[in-house]
Order: sequence, then C-alpha cells, then structure tokens
Amino acid sequence: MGLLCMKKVKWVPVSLAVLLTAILMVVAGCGATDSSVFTYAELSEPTAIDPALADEAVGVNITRYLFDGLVGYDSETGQVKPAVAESWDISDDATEFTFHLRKGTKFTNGRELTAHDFVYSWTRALDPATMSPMALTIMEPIRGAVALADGEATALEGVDAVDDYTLKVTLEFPLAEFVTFLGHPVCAPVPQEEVEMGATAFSENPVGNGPFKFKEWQPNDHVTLEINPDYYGERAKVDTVTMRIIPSAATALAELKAGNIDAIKSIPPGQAEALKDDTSVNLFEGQVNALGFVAFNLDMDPWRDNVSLRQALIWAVDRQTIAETVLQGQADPADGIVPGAMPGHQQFAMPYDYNPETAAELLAQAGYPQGDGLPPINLAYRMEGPNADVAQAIQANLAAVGAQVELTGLESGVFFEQMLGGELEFFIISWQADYNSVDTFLYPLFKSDQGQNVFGYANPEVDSLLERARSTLDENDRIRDYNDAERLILADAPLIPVFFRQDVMVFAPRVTGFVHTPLGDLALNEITVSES
Amino acid sequence: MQIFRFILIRLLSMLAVLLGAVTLLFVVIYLLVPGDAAQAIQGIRATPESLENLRRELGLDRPLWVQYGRYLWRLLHLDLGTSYQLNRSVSSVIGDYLPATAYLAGAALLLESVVGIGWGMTMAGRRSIRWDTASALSGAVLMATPVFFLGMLLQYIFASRLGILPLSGLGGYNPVNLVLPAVTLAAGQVIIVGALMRAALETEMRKLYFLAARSRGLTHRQAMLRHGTRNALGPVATLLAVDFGTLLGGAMITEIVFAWPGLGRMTYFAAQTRDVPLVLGAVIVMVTLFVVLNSLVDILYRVLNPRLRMGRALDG
Repeated sequence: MGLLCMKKVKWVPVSLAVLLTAILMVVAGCGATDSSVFTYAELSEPTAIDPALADEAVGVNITRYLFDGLVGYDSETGQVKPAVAESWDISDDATEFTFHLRKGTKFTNGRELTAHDFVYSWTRALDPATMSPMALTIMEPIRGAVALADGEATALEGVDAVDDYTLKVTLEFPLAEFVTFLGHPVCAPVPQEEVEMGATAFSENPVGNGPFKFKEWQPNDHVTLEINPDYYGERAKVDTVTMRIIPSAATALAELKAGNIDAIKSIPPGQAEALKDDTSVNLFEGQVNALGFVAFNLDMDPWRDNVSLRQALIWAVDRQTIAETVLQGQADPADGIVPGAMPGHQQFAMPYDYNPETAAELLAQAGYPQGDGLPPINLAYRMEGPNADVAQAIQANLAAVGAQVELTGLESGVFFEQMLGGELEFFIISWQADYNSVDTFLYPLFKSDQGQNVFGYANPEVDSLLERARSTLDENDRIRDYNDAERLILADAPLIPVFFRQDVMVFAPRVTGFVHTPLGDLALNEITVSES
Repeated sequence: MQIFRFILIRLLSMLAVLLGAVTLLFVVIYLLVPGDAAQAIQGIRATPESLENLRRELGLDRPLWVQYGRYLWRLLHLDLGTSYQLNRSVSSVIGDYLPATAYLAGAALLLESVVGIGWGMTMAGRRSIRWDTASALSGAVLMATPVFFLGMLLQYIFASRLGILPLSGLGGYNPVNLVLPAVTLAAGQVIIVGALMRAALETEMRKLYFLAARSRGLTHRQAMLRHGTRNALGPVATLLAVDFGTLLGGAMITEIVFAWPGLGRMTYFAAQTRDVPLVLGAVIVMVTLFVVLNSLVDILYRVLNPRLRMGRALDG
C-alpha cells in the first residue's frame, strides 16, 4: 500500500512535466511569424478550385490567385487591365473582339499557353456536362454560347484561334464592354491535358497560370499556395499563401490576436466598433459591388400603376439607420442602384431621402391617406444572414407612416421559386456584380425582356438607353446612357434601394500593402508581412 | 450453435434497422424539406429551361418512389450518389472528413474512459459528504455548460492567455492540436462514465464474491482492482461503445469552434447549401456506424460473457 502510494506521488508530476515540455517544444515550432508566409482565414471552404466551377466568393477569390484570364481588374479602381492578352481591338459595331496574347506565358505544368487553350476552356465551361454555375451568365453574348449550353451544338461558334497568339471572339449582339466580362474567373484558361485526367482530380490538384500555384488542400482545414516562379507578371511579395478555413469568426479573430494568422475576411457580429478602437489590429472597411434592395412586384396590386404609393414607401425607409444600426456599419446607405465602388457610378442618383412627412403626403396622393384603405403588405425575405433584421426595420419604418406590413421568412429554395414565379408582392433581395461594369446592375435587372427582371418592370425609354449603351464604344457616352437609365428607373420606383454592402477585414499589424478589391477579393500583389 | 443463431438474428435485425433508417431519412429529406432543390441551387439566375435541365440531371423529375428505388439500388452497390454542390461522389467527400472525425472521436473516447473510469474507481465506496457534493456539483456544472462556451473558455485560457496549446485547426494531425477539442468533447461525458463506473463498482462490492475475496485477505483496493473492476466494466463498456458511435457522427459545435475538419461540420454546411445527397449520405454513414458498432458490442458481449448466453443473468 505504502509502496503504491509512493509510486503515484513520484510518477504523476514527472509524467506531467514531460508532457508539458513536449507540448511547449511542439508549440514553439509553430506560429506565423515567417515573413515569406501570408495566412488568412475564410469562414467556409471553396466548393471547387476550378475556374469553370467556382461561383461562391471563396472559390472565386482563390481561383483569381491561381488563374489569369485574358484580362484582369486593377485591384484599386476595378478598371480592366491586360493580363494574358497584351492588347485587343474592337470592331466599330462592337461585335468583334480580337485579342493579342502575350508570348511565352506558361501553365504551371510547364506547357506554353496559346489561344487554343481559351477555345478549349470556354467550350468546356459552357458544355452542359461541366455543370458550370456561371459560364452562361458571363459568356452568353458570345455567338453560339446559348446553343452550346443547351446541348444543341458541340463547338463554340463565336470563338476562333486565328493563330497561337490571336483569339477572335464574335458576339451575338453589340456589347462594347464585353472585355470587362472576361475578367470573371470562369473565362480563365485551363490546360486540357490536366483536365482530361478527370474533373475531380483537376479540382483537387488544379494547374493554372496565375501568380501562385497550388500546393495542397486539406478539406475544411486549409489550402496552401506557393509562388509561381514562371509567372509572366509582377512577382508577389510573399512566397506562400495559406488560406485557413475557420467557420467561427470568433475563433478566427482569436487566432489573429494570438499572432497565428495575418488576416481575417469576416468579423464576429457586433465587433466592428470594438475593433475600430483596438490598436493591436488594423481594421479595413471597403465597399463591395453589392446592392441590398426591396423589390415591388409591379404586376400586383396595390403597386400596379401607382407610382406615388411606391415613392411614398421609398421616402419612408430610413436607410441610414438600417446601414449603421441594423447592419452594424457593415453597409453604406444606398444612394442609387449602382454601388459607389463601381467605375462609372454616379453619386446621389436617388431623388429620395428619408422623410416620413413627404412619405405621408405621397401616400395621401396615392389614395391612401394615413394608410387608410391600404391592404396589409406582405414582405418576404430569405431566412439567411441579416435579412430578418432588415425586414423588421422596414416593417417599423412603413408602419410609422401608416402602411401595415406582415413579414414572411422563407427558405431559399421556396423564396426563389415563388419570386421567379411572380408570387411575391414585396421582397428583400440582394444583387452582386458579376463583372465590373455599371451594366451588371442595370441591364439584367431592369431591361424588360431579361429573366432576372424580377419586378416586371418595363420602360421603353430605359430599354433603348440600355441597348444603346451596350453598343457604344465611347466610354463617356456609354456611361452617360447608363446614368440616364438609372435615374429614369429610380423615378419609376420599381424598387427601394436600401444598402451597399461593405466588407470588413482585419489585419495583423505586421501586414502592410493590403488592397480590398470592389469584387470583395483580397488582392495579394502588394501584401507584405514583416518579421515580428 | 445458439450463439450463431443469435449472431444471425442480430445481423438481420441490424439490416432491418438500417433499411428503416434509410427509408425514413429519404422520405423526411425529400418530402418535408421545403422548396425545389434545383431552384435552391440555381437561385436568382435560374431560367425555366435551366431548372428543367438540372432537375432531369439530378433525377428530380421522376416520381418519388422511382427516386427511392434508384437510391436503394445504388446504396446496395455502396454508391451514395453525387454531391450537388461539389460535383463529387458523396463517398469520396465523406472519406475526406471521416479520418479527422475518427481521430477526434478516438481521443475523446480515450479521455472519457481513462478519466471517467479512474474517477469512478476513486469515488467508489467512499462515503464523504464533502467529496460527493463537490463531485456532484462540478459534474452538474460541467454537464450544463454549453459546448461552445466550454470550448471558447479553454481556447481563451490555454491558447490566448497561456499560449501553451494551439487554438484551432487540425495542424496536420499534430497531437497537440487534439487536446482542447478532445477535452471539450469529453468533458460532459466523463461525468456520466464516472458515475456509472462508481455505481457499478458499488454494486459489485456488495456481492458475495467480493466479500469472499476480502475474506481471503485481499485489501479492499486489491479486491476492487482484481475482481470488482472487471465485472463493473460491462455496463461502462456499453456506454462507451454507444458514445463512440455518437462521436463518430461528428461533433458539429466542437468542430466549428475549433475549426476541426470533421463530418459534423461538413454535414451542417451541406444542409445549409441544400446538398441533399451529401446530407443524406453523411447521415446514413453516421447511422450505419452507430448501428454496426452497437450490434458488434451486443455480439461481443454474448461471446465474451457466457452468463448472458444462457438467456438469463446468474448472480455471482
């Protein structure tokens, strides 16, 4: 008995000490203080690292590090800049685009990239078997794209590799800004020989031509990229990039504060104010090209043919408070349809402010003084993110002028089904830019023949302005048409623009050179991590 | 021969349970989840044609019983279908996450067994109001603490403040990364294992063979270690086996707090993106692991413990 006791007393602390020492030794070995490594956190995992398949923000972002298309976007201004294509010519009618490719650019498997790779990659992306979520949205203007996507053709008629370094693209209709569409990763080239080893294999071991090359992907844990030594462009200032997937924003922030990661792309709810005052981190806020709005279904009563009523409700919504309080500063109040980060955006396009008195006057003009006789309005929203809070704020705003609102939270699938079926009368939705042009906020949403015109909005003048803008080569003339169209739409009031989303990122103090792109990506080219 | 009959019956009933579970899950997921999956996948960009194409592609245009029949047929060939979102076979996706989950589940189980059984043995036969109150109280507190809170508390103390353990992540299967999530996961269960072990030991202590052992001159401690423990472990082992089955299903909250790349978290995100085949496949794998593990323990029991084979327990 006594012997047993002695043994216990002796061994427990000894083994504990050994264990602790071992732990400390292992821990001392890690920590992100290496200046050649940049580590950032995302909340979720990319669905695929393949240009044809990426459609959510995480996948699109990482795809941009690995693949370079014909053109890219300047990370600060969002303007189109040359990438694999050195230059391009546009025909006078804006339907023929000829791209002159850089010579000697390579995939990371060592093979030279030619115009034929674009023909292959775009055909592959549009092929229905690839099931690309974005290919048709972006490439629809190309002649024959729709036929290929519908399975009626096997080749992409409008794309032709004239020689190894010349790619000719013919469009179905004039589109002066088509080049901006090509900045989307779905148009990036992929090497046929690697893809044909199997789609799954390619997504797990992608081979690209971007500033970084793929190293490893531990699902739901991390993705590691290394610098691409053969990259034709400017070399990034870090050698290794690690994206850690940390689903809890609180855990990610703790990791940042512990010095283990360099940047987080989302912050825990309600933390923005506290982080602004926190000197141990750098908070960075930047507007992204996304609009949150409430849509009127113009085919339904009471909205049909009652512009005063719709305008009244716009005047009644306190956009400032919604952006600052409900969305906790992670949004700016909308001053139009096109977000401020978009090149060609016009300031203060909105002819409406927040003013309940004007709202009341207009409501009386519309035939519903103090809301008398106005049936209860059903406001629908997707039960995701802050939608429910925004809906409640709008409900309170409208109740203040006498309009009774009932809220209906719907699961995503049901919401889209009912919305596209024209069953919702009044609903909250957001729209994010697909390409860096004003067009992405106007043409697909408000042109009368577009599938995504969820308002049932039709104004012949707007239609012809949008049509003309698309075929105008002169940038100033084109932007003027788009701006005119935006003002006409706002005057017709088919929607209540509510907020432009902001991204909030947090960086460790040792990181400099961060640029937030209007597309919501983290641009790596200037990122520097100093020794600490 | 009786034992083979028992095993056969046990295996058949296991298959029946699995078939029932698959059917129930299929019906629940396909019938009760609102909305159209094709619509949910394509969102605002959907057109009637693209929806129809996708529905055809996914087989959603067929009647439910045809879809069910096809699903069962493929399941028989161990094919769980293809994930909507990832365009990969469900089994390969699950294969990506099962190792991390099994690793964490194993560590948590080890902690539960060692600490729980040790605790139960220490407490067995002690009649001290102070100790009993202390253990009951700390047990109640531990069991009532929400997992996410315990996890964040441990992160704060051991990673942020003391800096001796990693905060989150798999760390390339570094055992140090395992400590905090395993402790978080095991904490509540340790109390239950400990209480069961203690109760079982105390039952054994009242039995005749225990008294006989004592009267042969063994100390209480020796009698407990050599005889009592072995017999008391039975019910504890059952509990641990059930626990292991549950743990293998992944621990969603712990996996989210510690950024652990496991099955629970994967299934949670799959449910959010309405990836029906992935959710269904993952839940079927979890149910199967659970049922198989339980049946195995049942069978092992019969094989190892002859008393049960007679169909009735004989009191020692």
